[in-house]
Amino acid sequence: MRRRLTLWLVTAVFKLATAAFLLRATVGEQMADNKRVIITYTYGPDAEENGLGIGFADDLEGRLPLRNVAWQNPLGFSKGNTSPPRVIELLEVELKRYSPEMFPRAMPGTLYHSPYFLHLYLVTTDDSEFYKGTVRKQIQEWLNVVANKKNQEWLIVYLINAESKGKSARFLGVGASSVFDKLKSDFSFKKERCIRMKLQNDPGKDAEAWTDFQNHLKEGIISSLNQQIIQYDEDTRRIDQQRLMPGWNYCQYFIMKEGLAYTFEFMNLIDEALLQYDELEASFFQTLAEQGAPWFAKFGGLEPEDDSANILELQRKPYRDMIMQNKISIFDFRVSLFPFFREAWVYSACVNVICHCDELVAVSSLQPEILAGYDGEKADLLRCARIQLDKLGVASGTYRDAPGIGFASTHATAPDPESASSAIKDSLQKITNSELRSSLFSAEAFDELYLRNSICRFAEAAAVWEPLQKQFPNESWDVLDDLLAEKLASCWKMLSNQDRYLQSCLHLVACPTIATQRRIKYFVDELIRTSHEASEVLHVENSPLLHLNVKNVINTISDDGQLLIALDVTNRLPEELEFDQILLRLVSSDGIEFYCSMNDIKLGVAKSLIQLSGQKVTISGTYVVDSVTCQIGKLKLIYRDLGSFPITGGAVPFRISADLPDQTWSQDANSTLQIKLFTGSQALKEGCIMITGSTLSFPNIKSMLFRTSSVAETGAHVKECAIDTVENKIMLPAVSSFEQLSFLMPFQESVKAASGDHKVKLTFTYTTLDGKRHIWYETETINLTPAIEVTHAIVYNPEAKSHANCKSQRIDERFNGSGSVFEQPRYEFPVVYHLRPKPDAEGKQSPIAENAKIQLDVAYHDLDKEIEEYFLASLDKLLSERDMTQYSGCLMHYICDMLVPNIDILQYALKDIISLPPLDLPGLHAMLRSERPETINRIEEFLTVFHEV
Amino acid sequence: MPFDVVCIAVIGKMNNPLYIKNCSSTYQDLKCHYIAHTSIDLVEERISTTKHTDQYLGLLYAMEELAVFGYITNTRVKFIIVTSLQDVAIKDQEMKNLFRKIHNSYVSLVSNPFYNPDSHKPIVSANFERAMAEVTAT
Repeated sequence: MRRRLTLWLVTAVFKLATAAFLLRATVGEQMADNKRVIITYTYGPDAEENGLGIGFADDLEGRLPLRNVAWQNPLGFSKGNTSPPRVIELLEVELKRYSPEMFPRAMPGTLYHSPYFLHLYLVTTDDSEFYKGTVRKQIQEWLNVVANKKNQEWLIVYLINAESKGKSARFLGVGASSVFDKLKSDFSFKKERCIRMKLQNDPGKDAEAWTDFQNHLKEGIISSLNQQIIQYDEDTRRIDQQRLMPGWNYCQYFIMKEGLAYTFEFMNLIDEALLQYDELEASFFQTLAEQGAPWFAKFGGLEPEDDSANILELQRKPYRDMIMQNKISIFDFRVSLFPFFREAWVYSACVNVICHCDELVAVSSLQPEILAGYDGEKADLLRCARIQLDKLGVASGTYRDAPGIGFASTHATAPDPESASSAIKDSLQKITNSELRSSLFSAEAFDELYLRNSICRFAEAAAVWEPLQKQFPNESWDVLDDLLAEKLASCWKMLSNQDRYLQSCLHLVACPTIATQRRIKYFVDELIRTSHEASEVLHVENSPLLHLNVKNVINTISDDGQLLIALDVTNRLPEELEFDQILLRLVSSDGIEFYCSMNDIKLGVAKSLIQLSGQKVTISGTYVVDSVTCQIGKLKLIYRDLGSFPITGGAVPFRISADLPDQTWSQDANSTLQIKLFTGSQALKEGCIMITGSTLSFPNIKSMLFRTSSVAETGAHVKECAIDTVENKIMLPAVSSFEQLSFLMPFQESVKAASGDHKVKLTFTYTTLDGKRHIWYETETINLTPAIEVTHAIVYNPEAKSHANCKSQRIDERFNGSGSVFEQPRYEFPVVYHLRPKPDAEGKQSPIAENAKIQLDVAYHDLDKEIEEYFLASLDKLLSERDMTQYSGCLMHYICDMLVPNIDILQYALKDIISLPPLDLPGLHAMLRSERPETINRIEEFLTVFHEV
Repeated sequence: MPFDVVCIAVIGKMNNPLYIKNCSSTYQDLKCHYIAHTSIDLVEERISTTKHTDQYLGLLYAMEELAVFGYITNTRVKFIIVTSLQDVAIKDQEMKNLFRKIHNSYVSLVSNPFYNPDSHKPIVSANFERAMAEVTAT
């Protein structure tokens, strides 16, 4: 029965009695000394005088105990199956001088079981006159008392000594009736109740007489026993039948049954007695199941030292008398005169039984199965004792936290340890178990006592609790679940399994609806303490401890911008929590990760808004809040899937371009790309570029030669350096701000594109001077067709002195001036030029040598590049005027990507005027979607100004 | 009523606690929960071993000074009443009446269109609460 977890107190007390008894029987220990058959003896008035009787009593005592008493269970007989005759090897018998007051007064209507089995009356006189006159009367009086006792046998012993033997024989000879004959005729009714015994003070000769006498004793005892057994059996049966009637009292039944057991015990028939107890126990539980235990209503337990007495000390109080008189049967568990009596009593009882049993077990050689059973019972008792300790400890204040209290408790509230009032202290002082009392006033003593009373098999306990715990939440039995979690937690704590202990604590603090403030505080403290002490990191997903909600995501676009995420955190605990770190992980659909975090956060009760910050997102896309990790010490609470957010990437303050090299030879096939990197206001600490293209393939190169030049001063100090590449990544050197880094990347055209356009993707990962790492993508379209094709024809005219062609001359001038504009693609432009030998220092012209090579340099640039550069220059100027240089990165990209492609280049080429298109507000807003509104306004305003300028 | 009601419990068909009211001042709520939970076993035992025709299940068990009575509706909702044991015998008829009252209150609760009988949430209806208070008071 999975739900029947509790072992009730009554059961425990019962079991302990049985367990103790079982052990007693097993070890065969003779228990209490007074459990003996008692034989009383009475001297006749004559026997007292002549010393014969006194000697007889002593003699008899010397010949006890009785051995080899044959006995057959009369009950077995009556049931039809004959129980085998048994031999009681040893029967302790106690001799007592008779007195009429020795019998306790029996109450009417109840059965009294006495230790008295047999009563002897010793007669020694041989004077029949004396007998008639005195002795007979006295015997009659004696018999009136004795024979009326139920189930007790009596025997008149006529003692004759050696001398009187002859006398008696002589008397017989003359036919005169002897005293013995008179005795016989007076008192022997049905049975032989008068025996004659000759004693000759000679051990050899007397032996026979003694054996004979002992047989009479045995007979009498057995007869008395059987009568008692039958009587008890009838009574118990009668009571048993009345079981279902109202007012039926288990106590009565108990008395009967126990009386029988007691009787057996007297007879040293311990196994029979145990059988009775077993039946009693079974019947107890049956009754309990059928109708409860109304008979426990009245109970005693008021006498001094009741609470500390050894439960096995049956003699301490006349229990059976009291039961008989319906004054007490056991203790009243509900009404106790002073507080803590019950706790102290149960504690003492349990501890006593355990000590006692342990001693017995130590000297016995029991089978392992029995020992296992014993361990189980012992654990029950220990638990029982421990619960009492809990309660007492809480009351006295020595036991501060009592999470386990109240499982079997019927007290409404456990007293607060802080407020252990003097009244409680006083009542605690009344506890008579000195060990217990002293421990209640000293924390160390209490701890020691507590530990001693625990079996401490926490591993097993945990193994039992754990599967149980998993079952409860499904059925939403929160209260019980809570209890189990607590038990489990204490197991893990004792086992110092920090991992599991943390989990249990988490579980406990996560459902605070049931628990008290004080308890939650305890476990929260424990949680925090353990999480800092733990050696291994514990990940717990979606703990109900917190509730997280991502409120908004802001990605600032300025150069030193950052990603700001506002997180709503609801702390479900009534306690303030302190987190070491909260880390949020964003993952885009491409698998790019961004992190946001905040350190040392104090979360108050209920909702609080915290702002996490991280490096700005540079790549636009939809990002999923993959996880939020809240860390306390080694404990990491992980919350997953908190929604997805579209984030517009803020541009990096660098510009990368890939194009054909600035200088190409028209004869050469294009096989290298020139990659340029412009640093804006920010410098680059290190970085790497990966170039990929679907139609171009890039061979692995071992090292790359970089040229760095300053943008501000053209032509000034060009630095060169070579750096090895690492796994296709081109590692970049450090570049300061406002510099241009360029390098040449060889490639092969793997797929011929018809238009000559090839797309190249540049993945740029870099670290800025402040150590932040960024990633940036740039896609470039490269047209491999050369911008200009030159064909020429040479006309040899040594006489030519002037330009014949006017048109050519005009063009020539333009060439020398601001340059020429190719307004349209595929425009053929004839240029006539005139080769003239270079004048030497003296101004003389030397003739052109034969086979001399002539080089024609055509320098050109695209108009859009020109416009772009102009814009960027004016942008930088305007930005620095308005102190907004942090936005140069993003605005630079805005100009390159959105403004320049929309400019009418033809107009500029023909009229030298640039007319800007109107400000593309929707486009701008799309770019700034993840920004703060005030920043958007500022940039909008700035761009309006920029467009006007 | 010759006996004291210590606790009234309503347990859903999935053996989930719907309502547990501790009417006594001497017992902890935990005890009531425990008893209610334990009684599920007994109820299951009763309805599986015998072919029960009566909704009233009678005395489920007695424990310490408490007696636990059970009742099951056709929809497998269980009602549990815990009483303190006294010398007087508790008549089945009285107990049945008590259970019938609880059943009626439960029926009116379920008739409320805003109450979801399949939700595992505890009953919070004020009307039901009032009815239970009446049951224990009479």
